[in-house]
Amino acid sequence: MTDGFGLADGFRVIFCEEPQGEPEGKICVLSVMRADEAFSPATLEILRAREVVARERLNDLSQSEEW
Amino acid sequence: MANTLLRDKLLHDDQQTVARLDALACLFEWMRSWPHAERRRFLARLAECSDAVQQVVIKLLGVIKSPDTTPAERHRALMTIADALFINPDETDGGYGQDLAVSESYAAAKVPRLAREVEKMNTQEAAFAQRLRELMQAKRISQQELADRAQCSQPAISQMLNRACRPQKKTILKLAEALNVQACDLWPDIDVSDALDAVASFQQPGYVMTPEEAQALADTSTRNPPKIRAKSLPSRPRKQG
Repeated sequence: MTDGFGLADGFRVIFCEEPQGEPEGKICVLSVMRADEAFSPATLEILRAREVVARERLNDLSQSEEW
Repeated sequence: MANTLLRDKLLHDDQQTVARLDALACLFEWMRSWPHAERRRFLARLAECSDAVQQVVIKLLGVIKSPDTTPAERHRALMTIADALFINPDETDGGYGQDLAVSESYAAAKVPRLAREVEKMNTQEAAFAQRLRELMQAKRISQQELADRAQCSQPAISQMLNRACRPQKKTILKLAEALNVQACDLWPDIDVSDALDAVASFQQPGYVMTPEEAQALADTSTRNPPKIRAKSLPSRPRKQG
């Protein structure tokens, strides 16, 4: 990842976030990958799966105000 | 009659049903060696999930089954299923997923270069908190007043001062504006992100770069461009204590 704060160059952070105000806004980190690591079909499927799970939890938790 | 209706309703004679049954067969084959109690637990978790998560799990079973899947991908798929079904809650203090601070520490322990970056980030974060505190004292601005100016909450300011969370870049920019200082006075390396933001913005259709952005792009042209959209890492909630 070459952008922002928090990780070394050469890594990617894949995450989804809720568009709320900072810093109360929540994110779910889906994966940290090396920048030279390919997005294979299997990896993409895994990331999509994680996004579905993460978004469901973000929504459930924000609705229940337990987050 | 009832069995016929059930069969006709649930088991359509189409490719989708065949694919699902195939995935189900894969699931049962996979579970064959499990203890009976574990099978029941797994299936109970699966049944409790929403349709969307169930589909995700079934798709991942297909990933696991595929001969093209590498061992690393298979491991990731399995971990994803375990997390989706919340099979190992005790390992995460009863919470979902993995704590980011724990994950960061674990990765840093395995990758020396990452460890150096994590240390650097922690140092910068500490310096940020100290500078923010000093500026607030020098300008005699309360947490609430700064929060109002920066359009965030007073608890958020408190968390940043106490390093309970790491600010996003946009928050640093707002705080700098609110304190009437340069963003780099709060977080010195913020210029790196400025340059990369320029790269991201010119990728929008019809966008015309400013000379500064063009220079920023030139400055970063020696780096490998990210293949996916990359953003500043947002706040990281931390465990207190």
